[in-house]
Amino acid sequence: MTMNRRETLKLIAGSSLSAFMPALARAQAVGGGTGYKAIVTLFLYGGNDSNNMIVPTDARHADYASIRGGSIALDQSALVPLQGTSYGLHPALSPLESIWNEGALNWVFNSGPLLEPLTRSLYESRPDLRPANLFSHDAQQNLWQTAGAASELPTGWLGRVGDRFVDAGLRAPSISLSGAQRAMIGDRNSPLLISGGNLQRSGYNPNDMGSAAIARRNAVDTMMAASQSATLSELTAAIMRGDIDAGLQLNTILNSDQSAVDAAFVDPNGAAVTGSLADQLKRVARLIEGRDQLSATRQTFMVSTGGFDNHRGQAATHSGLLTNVGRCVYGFYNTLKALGMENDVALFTMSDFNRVCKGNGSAGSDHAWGSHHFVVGGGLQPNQLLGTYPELALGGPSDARTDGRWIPTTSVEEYAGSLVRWLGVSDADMPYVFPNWSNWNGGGRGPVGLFA
Amino acid sequence: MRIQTLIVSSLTVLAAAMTPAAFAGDLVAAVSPPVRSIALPDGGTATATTFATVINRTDAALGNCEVDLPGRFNSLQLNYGWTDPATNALVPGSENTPFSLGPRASQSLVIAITAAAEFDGVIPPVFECGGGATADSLYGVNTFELNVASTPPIDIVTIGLTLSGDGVIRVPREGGRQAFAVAALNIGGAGTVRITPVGLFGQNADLPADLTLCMTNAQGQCFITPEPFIDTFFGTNDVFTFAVFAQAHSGFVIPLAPASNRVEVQFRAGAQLAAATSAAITAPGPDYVLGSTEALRLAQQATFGANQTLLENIRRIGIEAWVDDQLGRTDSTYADLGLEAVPTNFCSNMPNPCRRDHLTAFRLQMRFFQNAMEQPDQLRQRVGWALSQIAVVSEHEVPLNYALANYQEMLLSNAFGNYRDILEGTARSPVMGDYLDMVNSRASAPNENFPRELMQLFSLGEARLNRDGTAQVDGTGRDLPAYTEADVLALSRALTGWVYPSAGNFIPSFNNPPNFTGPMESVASQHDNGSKTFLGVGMIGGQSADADLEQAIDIIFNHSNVPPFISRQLIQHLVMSNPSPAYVERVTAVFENNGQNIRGDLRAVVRTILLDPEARNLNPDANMAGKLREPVLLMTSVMRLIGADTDGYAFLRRMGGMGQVPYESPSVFNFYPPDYALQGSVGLISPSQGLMNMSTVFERHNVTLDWTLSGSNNRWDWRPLSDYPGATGTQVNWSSWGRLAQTPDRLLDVLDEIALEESLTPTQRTAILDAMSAQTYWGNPLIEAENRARLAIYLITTSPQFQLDH
Repeated sequence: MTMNRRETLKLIAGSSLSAFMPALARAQAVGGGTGYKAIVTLFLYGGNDSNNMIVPTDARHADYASIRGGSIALDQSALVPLQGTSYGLHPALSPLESIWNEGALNWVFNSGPLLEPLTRSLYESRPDLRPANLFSHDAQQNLWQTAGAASELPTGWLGRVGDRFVDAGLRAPSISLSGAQRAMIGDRNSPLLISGGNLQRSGYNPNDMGSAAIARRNAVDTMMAASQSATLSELTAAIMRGDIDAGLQLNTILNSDQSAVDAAFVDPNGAAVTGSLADQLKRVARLIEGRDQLSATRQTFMVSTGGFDNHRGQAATHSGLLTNVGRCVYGFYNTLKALGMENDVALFTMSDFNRVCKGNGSAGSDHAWGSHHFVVGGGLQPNQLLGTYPELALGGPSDARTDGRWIPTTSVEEYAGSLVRWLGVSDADMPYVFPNWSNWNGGGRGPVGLFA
Repeated sequence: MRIQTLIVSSLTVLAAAMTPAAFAGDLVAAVSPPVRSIALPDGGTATATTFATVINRTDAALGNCEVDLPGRFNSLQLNYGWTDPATNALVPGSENTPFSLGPRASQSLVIAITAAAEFDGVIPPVFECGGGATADSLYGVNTFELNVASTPPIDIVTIGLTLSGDGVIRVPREGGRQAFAVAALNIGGAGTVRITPVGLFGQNADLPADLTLCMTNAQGQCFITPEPFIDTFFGTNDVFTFAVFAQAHSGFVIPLAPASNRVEVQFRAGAQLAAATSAAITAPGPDYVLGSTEALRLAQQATFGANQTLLENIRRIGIEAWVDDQLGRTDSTYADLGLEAVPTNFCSNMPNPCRRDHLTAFRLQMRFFQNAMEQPDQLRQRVGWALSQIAVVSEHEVPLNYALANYQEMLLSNAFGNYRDILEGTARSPVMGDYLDMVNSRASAPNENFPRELMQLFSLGEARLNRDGTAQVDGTGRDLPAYTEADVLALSRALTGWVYPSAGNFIPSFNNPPNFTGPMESVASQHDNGSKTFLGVGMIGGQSADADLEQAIDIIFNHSNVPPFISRQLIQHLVMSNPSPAYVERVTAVFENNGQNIRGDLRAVVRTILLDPEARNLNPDANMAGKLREPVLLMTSVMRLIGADTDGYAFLRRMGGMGQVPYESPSVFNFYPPDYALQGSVGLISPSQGLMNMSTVFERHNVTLDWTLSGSNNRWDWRPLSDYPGATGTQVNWSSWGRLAQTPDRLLDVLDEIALEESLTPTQRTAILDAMSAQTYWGNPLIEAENRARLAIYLITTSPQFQLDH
């Protein structure tokens, strides 16, 4: 049964929470209460062609190659074999091979926004069951990030996880290193948005005891503290005040020269990894390193990188993008090990959608649907390939159209839900985080088995 | 009357005319003449005398009063004596003798300053009584400029006399004229001086008055017609009289503010200021139709930032007349930049600025900021800027200056045109064709990117809308979609067959080389001319690419979603982030039909948006009002407020850290989503909040501080770019703000009025004044005042009140 929009909105507003749920004990709201755990979302913007991230290396490879066409199909010989499986990785993802061999890399096949489990015939006969605006970047990004399925919600599932954590009194549960992200907007918590730079106000030095400096700081504070007439204005001012306070705390953590992170963030050849995504992940690592200073025990982080909307000339571009992803993820996992935190942190990918399996006429591919993703972490159940790889037949049972747009067989809830449960959100809170949870829990459905 | 007696009596009135300032000293003093030039004999000393009056402003008796020099003038010696105000004679035995001042009493003095070496500078004498009572130093009123030179300079003593006898030139009515008499005696060597009346006005604008002068005869009549300046030869002991005329500009007020609004008559021998006299000036303004807050609210909605002159214009002619004037303006353009067509490999063997100038949006962006700062068609530019955030193209994927200029010129020139022209413009533009892959899309593999975004972002939106902008929902509460995947496919097919223009000489063909000099051209063989059903309308088979495009645009344009979808976003870009559905519906109605049965008339739509009662409401609903200023609007507001003169480069150097550089949107979804939810609210959206993260909060503060408190004219990001022809960098004239800051209460009144909608609270005012008075610059009152002005402006422009439109 799908929840209608009004009910969902009431739920989000929180006021009638008790009408829907049994009473929640605050302590029970956060399971596995000791130590530290964090999940890191790596969002690949533009619609990552995950058909080419993980590729069958058995007899299916011929089907794969003939569907994709010469300009974008990967030769079998080029693939990096995943030991013990019939799959290989895009050559650019070779840094992930050692992580698989260590048992810290899992894959989830053919996942995506779904209202209910769908077959091809149901997809065709029941348009009301299709997620809205299926091949639209904005709409699908929002469905992955808000887990609304029917239509977009004003808050995101990571934000709702954050809501439960702040209800339980936890600190700094949501941090985005990649600017404003739908996924992290909560009803009663907002993510810290960190994007580098020195987080302080010029000219405001609390240690300057000169009379002019004191009077000036007092004037700055007085202006900042004034209450505003409109709700929008007052909330905005409150956000500014909060950001300024938080910035002071985080400044130390992000800029300390005592950190172990920079030295450990290297690729398999020991070379330092640079660039925007690397910087984001290094900041995540520093924040994990500094978790005690923040008194943080349960956190969600979000990083992202873009450019994956390869309608034209895909091969070289996609290879470059995946090279960056591979090196950054390797560097990040290496750093977690250096910090001794590899068992307490899991990084996982998401993207707007997969791309059409059949190549288009411009040596690229267009928007599709069900996509494959990987999860990295020392706490994983080793070497799992979860979900169901689609049947590689154009117009076949896995195809929503006739060109290879896979109908997901694992919902966003089943994929992300596994991570959220591992993080410590209780059974009872899962419907708050995922409004559609009842469709994916029970009756043969449930979160994928990423963890032990 | 003898000049010296004249001097003394005028001093008294001058001093008495000083309006009380926030931290005015207990004493007030005036010095005249304010300038002397004297000759230094070989191996000897030279002494210049001047007269002063000190007044006790308190009701308490003060004793032990003295005059002295500030410590740094250790090469000079100051002696003073008391004078009889009636005769100007020195009181015997009073040399360097401290004096008393009864309550409200005054003392006239003669001051003699002796130099043993050449000297040229402004001296602020210190007037102080026991118990710490002092007089504030006010440049030109109680400062003394001394020039000591070896060759005997011309040494003129001059005095002015206003008709009202109170040291104030009082123009009798708006646009009227007033005279002021000046007498000058040369007690030095012979020489020629140029005499020029100069207007001094607070907060960086020109005194709104034309100043002229003439030499007069003994009856006070001009020998010849008054002129802006005259050159006169003075022999030793020559006396001349002059009349100075101030013709106030109609439509402008000159407030009575003797510290900052003055006419100074300067006598210059070459570049050297040999003498000066000045008087305050005031002129009544017109009866304003509007209050200042009303005018400011409109300026925030319709311009890139308010300043005093703009607000006076609006107040004078009223909202409707000002809006109608704006709707007729076409001053800004990018057309010239769009003519500089180059191939994409143009800079392969060219030296450095080539790439910057042609293969990035740099020059287009410079022009954007120059226009925003200076061009009077402010509203048109605001609408063009809004349209560029709806129908987005970005330098990230089309790095060609002339191409981007052509596209933005299309939007700007249609800002008050018809929205259908904009939709068609995006469809035919090779820039958009490149950006969203419509160029070279062909029948065998139609590209869905542009068709999808044309509907989703530029015209319909994703949900079916009511006329009031709210989404239509089905029985289960789901949004009804505005279009389906089948519509996307149909539109993709209809828009196949377009290629880059072929530069005239040959037949257009598939995969023409990139060329952005004109609209895309069609290739029939690549066009899918089968029949289609699009948005419920049948498109017959056999139509050409051009006919399909025209019909598709018509179908989209006539969809009921377009008026509310576009109207709501324009309201959000101009006025407020959360308009009421009723407001949206009123604007939708005008979009649908402008009253002359025309659909899509943006001129009428924008007019309606600004004149609507919800936009003009001085007491808006607190639950709906408000709009966070996006970085571009914040920074142009700061710079237009302070009166910066800029070629735009400073913005390009500093805006990146705030996440918004014009025409460099990270994706077709703009810098921020139009429906970004405001954290902590129930149902409010705040689109530019999408750019407000911890990093940008600090960046907004720090750049604003750099350009106000630390805004000295040689700062690194204000220097002109050396390899850019015509580069002027950025400068601000702080001296006029400084003059206004000599009366801090008045400075805050002005800033409150032109920047904060008169929302400054008493607590805030006190805190700012305290910070200003704690900011000192010993020995140079004008620099001290400038620093204080910059501090006040910094505190106000970094406040939450200034970050938001209310």
